[in-house]
Amino acid sequence: MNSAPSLVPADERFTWSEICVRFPDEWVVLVDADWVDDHNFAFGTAMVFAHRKGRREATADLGAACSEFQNVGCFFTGRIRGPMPRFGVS
Amino acid sequence: MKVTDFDPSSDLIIVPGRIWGPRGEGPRLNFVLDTGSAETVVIPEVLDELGYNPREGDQITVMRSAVGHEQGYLIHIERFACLGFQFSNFQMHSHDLPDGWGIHGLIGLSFLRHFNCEIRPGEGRLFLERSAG
Repeated sequence: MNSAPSLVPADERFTWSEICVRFPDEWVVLVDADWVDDHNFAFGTAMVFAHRKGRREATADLGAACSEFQNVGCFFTGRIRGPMPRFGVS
Repeated sequence: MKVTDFDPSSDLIIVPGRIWGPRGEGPRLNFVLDTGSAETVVIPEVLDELGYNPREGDQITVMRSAVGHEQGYLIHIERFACLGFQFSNFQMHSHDLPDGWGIHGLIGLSFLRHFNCEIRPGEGRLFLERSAG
């Protein structure tokens, strides 16, 4: 497990909008999220287990998060640019 | 019929997917719906963290792209869930994707071909139902 740079009290809960403002362009590991259903992204609030600049570092926190909590997720708060354009303008 | 919402203002169709592994419950991860991908792809570091071992893979693979050839592997996942449906013993392609893309993997036709779907990009909604075949 990485030493997660947690700047927030462990039991503080945030909405996704609040998380994006607080941790811009970061990967966040969320725990105890109250998802609205079993397959959509939407949730009311969640706790931030860890926040990282890189995906690799955030992913390394997933195992610890899953062993300690339920309803875990890992997401990027910035704009997702995704796979290279198959037909793009260079 | 399952309905999944996505952000219509995003460059891509991003949906959460879950992978269960030897260490238990699957976290929700960022996947891109990619009808141009034959395989459903997940980055190796996720599988490593969930307790999978590349040695359990079915075969080594090579992904060809505009920038060259890169190795990955095919592996059967205990359980994979996305878009309101789930499969046990589902084969995925483990392959690295650039960190800067903001995703953990791709939902390709190896998953989608089991369904009929309607994508409404303007509304940010995706309708999925099992195909009769």
